[in-house]
Amino acid sequence: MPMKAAKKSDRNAIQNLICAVLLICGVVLSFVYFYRSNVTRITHQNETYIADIATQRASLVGDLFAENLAYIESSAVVLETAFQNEEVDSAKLNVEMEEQIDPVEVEKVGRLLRACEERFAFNYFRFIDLHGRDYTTGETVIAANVAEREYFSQGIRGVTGMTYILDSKVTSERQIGFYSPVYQNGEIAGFVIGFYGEDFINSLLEVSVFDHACEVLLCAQDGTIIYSTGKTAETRNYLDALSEFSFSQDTDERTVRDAFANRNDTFFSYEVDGQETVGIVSYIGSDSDFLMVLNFPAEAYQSMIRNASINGAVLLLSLIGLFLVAGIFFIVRFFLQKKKLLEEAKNSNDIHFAMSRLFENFVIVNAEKRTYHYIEGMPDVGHIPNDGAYDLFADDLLDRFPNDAERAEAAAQISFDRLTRQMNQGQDIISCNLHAPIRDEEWFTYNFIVVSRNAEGRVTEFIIARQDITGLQKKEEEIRRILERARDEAEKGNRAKSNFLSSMSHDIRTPMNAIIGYTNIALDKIDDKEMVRDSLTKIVASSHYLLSLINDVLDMSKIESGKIHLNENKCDLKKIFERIADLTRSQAGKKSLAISFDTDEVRHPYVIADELRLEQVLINIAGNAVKYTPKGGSIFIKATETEEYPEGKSRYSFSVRDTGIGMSEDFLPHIFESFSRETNSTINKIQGTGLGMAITSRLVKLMGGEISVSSKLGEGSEFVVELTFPHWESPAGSELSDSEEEAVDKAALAGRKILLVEDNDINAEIATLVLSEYGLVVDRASNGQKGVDRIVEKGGGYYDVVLMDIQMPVLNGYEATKKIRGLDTEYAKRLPIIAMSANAYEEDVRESLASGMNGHIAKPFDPQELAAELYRRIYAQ
Amino acid sequence: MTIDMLTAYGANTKEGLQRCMNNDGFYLRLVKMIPGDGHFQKLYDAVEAGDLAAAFEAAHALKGSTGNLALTPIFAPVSELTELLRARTETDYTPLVTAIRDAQKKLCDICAD
Repeated sequence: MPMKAAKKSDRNAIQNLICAVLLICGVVLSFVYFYRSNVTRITHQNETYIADIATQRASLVGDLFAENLAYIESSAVVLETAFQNEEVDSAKLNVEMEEQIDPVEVEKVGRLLRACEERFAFNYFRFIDLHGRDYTTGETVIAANVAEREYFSQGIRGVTGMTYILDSKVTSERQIGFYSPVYQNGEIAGFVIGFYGEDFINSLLEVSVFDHACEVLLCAQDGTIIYSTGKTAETRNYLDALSEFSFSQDTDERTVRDAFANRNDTFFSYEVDGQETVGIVSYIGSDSDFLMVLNFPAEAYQSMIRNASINGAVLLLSLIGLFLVAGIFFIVRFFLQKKKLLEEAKNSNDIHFAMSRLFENFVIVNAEKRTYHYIEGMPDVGHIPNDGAYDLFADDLLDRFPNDAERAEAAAQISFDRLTRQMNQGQDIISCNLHAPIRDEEWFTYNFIVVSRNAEGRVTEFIIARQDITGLQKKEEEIRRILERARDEAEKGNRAKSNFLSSMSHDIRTPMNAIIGYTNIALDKIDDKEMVRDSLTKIVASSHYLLSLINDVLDMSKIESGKIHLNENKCDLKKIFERIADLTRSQAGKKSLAISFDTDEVRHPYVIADELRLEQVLINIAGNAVKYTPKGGSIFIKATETEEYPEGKSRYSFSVRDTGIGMSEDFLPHIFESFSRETNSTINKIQGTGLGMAITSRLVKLMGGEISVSSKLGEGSEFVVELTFPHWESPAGSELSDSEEEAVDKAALAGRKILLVEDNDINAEIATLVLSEYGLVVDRASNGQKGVDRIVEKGGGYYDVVLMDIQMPVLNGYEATKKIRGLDTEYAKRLPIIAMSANAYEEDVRESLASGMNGHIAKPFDPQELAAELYRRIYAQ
Repeated sequence: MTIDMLTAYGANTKEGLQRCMNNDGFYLRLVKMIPGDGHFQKLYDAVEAGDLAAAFEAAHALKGSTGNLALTPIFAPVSELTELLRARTETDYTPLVTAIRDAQKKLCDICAD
């Protein structure tokens, strides 16, 4: 599983990372420690190094000195022998200083010395006699007298030893000498001394360390500097110069002094020019008095430290660098690997997912072995194992086919030989559709896909994957069915259209023919007034019918083509009902039908609707009721507000019930279809276009409502239309008023004269103000009697209307009205008197009407309502 | 006296103004006429005397004018009183009369400002 591997490599990588980090830390710590101990280490190392060098050199020098001592001894013997051979008489040499020395002997000595010098390595070879005469190898044999020299006293005593000279009498250079006594006849005749000059000493002492010359000093035990390879030649005594040193590292003057005193080897560290360095004192040995001081050159010391540090640092950095590189390498590789693994996993997951959505039942077939193996999913119903021979798979599949023909077909399609043959010819994908009963009745597409081929191109492995296309098949069938249905509908529509046209043309021709016919009759019988009148009447009727038919047809076609738009405006349902009621009454009046009209339960008459179309619908239904109800029948029209919704609209129900001829059960379902009219004798006698209900129902639907009908043949029918309309604020009681209405009222009332009969001053003031606003000319009487008197006074036709308060002293409103009506003039009888009363009880209204008042307005009155009432009364004639 | 003071008093000034065609001055002028209306005293005397018919007439008149000007603190008790008197009910009219008196006095004080 790729995800698990990724996780594991995650863990490993993290472990590696931790190790790397720890290592780096360790290395860094080591470096710090390393650097710290560097100086000490270097010092120690250098000490050891110098020690080695010094020791070596010292012992070299010591050995050399020892050698030379032996050498001078033998050279003394050689000279002795030479003296003997040459018969040099030492007695002749060793005369007192004042006396003259035998030159012949001297010359002999000279000659012998010269011969020895050539044989010996010494720079200078001399013979010193007992009086200090210095016999050299030069032209002048005796050059000087060395009696005061220290070595003289030693030499003539017969000591073999070493000495040093800081200022040679002959060459004024530093020299070291080796001396040994010369005997003659068993007695000391003098001694020989061999000298080495500065060059020799220098070459003996010089030492280089890392290409830096060391400073080497050859000192006597008392500190006298015999020779120095460096620049401290100015100082005479080394021990004295020690006080100038700035010692370090636990060493000091005493260390050096002790070494000199005890003839020991020792280290010391000091600073020179701000640089640390070490020195070593080394005893020459060989029982000599000499010590060697070797100073490790400071620059070398520093450069050694630097080098070591640098080397160390380089090493460390290389190590760190290496670790970092390795670390980075591992990290990058880890991430790349992880990314790759994730991608692969995702890819394989995606592929897996996609495949499993698309295909079922992956089987991989080994073409060479002719075996199958289930990769994904289980074998259906578990008849066969996950692995097996291909034939087993094939047989299991074929077994399910109940139909022989289908089975043979399938067998051919999944035949191993056929498939592999096609694949070997180059086909990578082979597909076939089988109608196989795997779970139910299903359609499958079987795909055989080549996975790998061998070097010759022959297939080695292929996959079998099947897709369930049952759904697709079903969809195709579904689409076919829908198309068929649409075609049927279209054909039906076409048929309906042609039917419509043929019916229509018939219906149009009939009245047209009637018109033409009767016109001809009228022309024919032009002198017959009755005939002409009759014809013209019939022509008018037919024209009207024709026009209504044409209108209906136009309406229908407009509705059908969707060209109708509702013209919604604010309207007053109550007003609409009144109009319908009037229309229905006038239609029904001729047939003596009883019309009942009930709109009481409409609480919100002010709605937003298409007034025209609503009326059309209601008129249509009501008109039908009148048409189909015979004489003496009844029609009940009722409008109710069935439900009030919170969002400011209500559902209204209009019902029209009649006691007419009714409709049969067979016909009822077709009532709203075009041109459908019940075919019976009664109907045929009743005029109609046959489109009315069709139009009505479509309009109702357009307004978002429902129309329903119930009927019993011979008993009557009931039509119910249900519509929902939103409310709007009515003009009365709100500050918004129908400005149009107001304008009309104001204009209409301007200049009219009104008599206000009111006893209360305040009320009268207010009423006067309001009436004046509307342009009325106001006269006031403060009680009933005064009112009557004023009318009589002004005479007929003066006042247009009277506003009469009821509760008044002297004569109340009722009495006053009675009195006015009692006046014997047409004007007084017809003068509109409107009652103003604080009560709106039924009794008061009745009494008002009974006493002769025309109208009634409640106190406190609404100016608009008052104006409207006045307008109504004044123009009600 | 201001509209605001009347509103604070308890009158429905909005309605009252509406009736007076939104004429502030006109409305206030009429309101000022109320406290001194003679019908108040007529009412009190009639109730005192037990003359329900006379009391009814006075109450009815007051109902009309206070109703028109929407002076609710007076209108409400007067209205109630009117209906009782219309039916010539025998009862203790004292609480209603007291309420009317108080409201009348309050309005009088406001009008004096």
